[in-house]
Amino acid sequence: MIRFFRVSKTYPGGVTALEDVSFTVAKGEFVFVTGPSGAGKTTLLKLMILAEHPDRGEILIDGLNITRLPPSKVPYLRRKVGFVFQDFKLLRDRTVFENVALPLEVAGYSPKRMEKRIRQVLRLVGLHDGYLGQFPPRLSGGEQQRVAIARALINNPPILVADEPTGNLDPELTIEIMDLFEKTHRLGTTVIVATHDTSLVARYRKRAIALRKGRVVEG
Amino acid sequence: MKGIYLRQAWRHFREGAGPHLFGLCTIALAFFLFSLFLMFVENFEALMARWQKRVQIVCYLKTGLSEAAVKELRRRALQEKGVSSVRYISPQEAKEELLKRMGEVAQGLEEMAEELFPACLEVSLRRGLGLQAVEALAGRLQRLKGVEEVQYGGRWLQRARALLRLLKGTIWILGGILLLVTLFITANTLRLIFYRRQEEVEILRLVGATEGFIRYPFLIEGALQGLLGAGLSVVLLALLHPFISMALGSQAIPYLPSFRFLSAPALLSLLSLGFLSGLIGGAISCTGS
Repeated sequence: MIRFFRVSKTYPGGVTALEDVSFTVAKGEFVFVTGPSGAGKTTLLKLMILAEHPDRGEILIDGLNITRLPPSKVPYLRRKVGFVFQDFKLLRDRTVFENVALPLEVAGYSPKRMEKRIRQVLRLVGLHDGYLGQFPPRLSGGEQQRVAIARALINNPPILVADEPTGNLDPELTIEIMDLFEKTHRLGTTVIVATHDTSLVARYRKRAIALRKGRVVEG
Repeated sequence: MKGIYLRQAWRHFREGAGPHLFGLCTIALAFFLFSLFLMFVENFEALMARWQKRVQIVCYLKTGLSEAAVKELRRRALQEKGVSSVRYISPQEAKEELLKRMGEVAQGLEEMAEELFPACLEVSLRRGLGLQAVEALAGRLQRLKGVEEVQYGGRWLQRARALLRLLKGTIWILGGILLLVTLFITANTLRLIFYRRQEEVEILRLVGATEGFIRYPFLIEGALQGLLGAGLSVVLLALLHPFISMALGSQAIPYLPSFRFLSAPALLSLLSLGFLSGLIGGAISCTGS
């Protein structure tokens, strides 16, 4: 499903984020990417949606070498990979409904089809219909993260990627959010979660790819 | 998909009301000045066309011509192509006509001898005769035996035509400037809005929006701003037109035709110019973003 082959990435200024990284994630697998801050976790996830481009190496997603993907095809890759950001990246002046609808809007769904799907996914992440008209700043951190997950799942992507999704949440909410990822995984989605929290890896007993200073040290 | 672009564009338009309003007013003002100029040129052209239709040639005759010679001259003039009628005006009639035309100003001229007023042939022309044909006819009449001098409004009309050409050329130049002004204002307004919406644009890209999805609403927004600006200028002009008409039209100055509003092709051109310049401005605003 996902294959990194000798991928390296150095940012302008000479900061090496990833060095010779290789790994494979099978279809339907649940994988943690672990490591301390600055280990290269975020860069690794960003490479999967070409939010960053590798300097060397190849990345295959579903058999497609995305490092050679022309810019015009990148949006279609991003529709296959649901991305959950640590800072949620919700639009504050849009309602929950409008935020969750964004991936459907860009994919050309009709408003009628969107509404049914949005209600369905919000229920999946544990938010009832009363949240539809709410604006993100009025929601708690956990609720905002659920909205972000709903947005990532809304168009049924085969891959779900989450960058420190519980970084801003208390332990109780962290478990609720992680349970959500596990639920999504059970529905057949390939899930990759980046975290520095080793207790999570221990609790959920999933495969972990450990990064240190941009190199894979385990996994 | 088109519906979503329109919805997005309208939402951006509402949310960016401040910069849009400023841009809209500036565009409307620029278009208003241009359309005012255009309206004057159109009316000047109409006035010229009307005057051109009324052009007459006056052939002043040599003194001492016999009645038979005058009759022959009149017959030959009537045979010329483009002539509809020829009227002989004797010195006495010429004096009477002048006194009648000048009214009170003519006091003291009654005593003038009739001999000072030369006899002439007033040659009326067929409708739609071009200026070149009038010039050629005047040349032929000048060569007739017994004709002292030929006069017609040719020189004046030529000057007026040159002025009209100049004014029409100016329209193109002003139109070009207007296009650039609208482009500049729209591009800058939308660039400002684009930067304000950078977070949204970034998120849209991350969730799989194509560049078209991001840019089309800005194009629509630009076209909308240009079209509304041009439309607003037309409304302003329509409100002002009755006052200009009262000051400059037939109501104020006799013999002048009524002062007309912009013609349908001019209106259409104005609105198209607004739409097009806004559209290009919208496209420019997205380049390199």
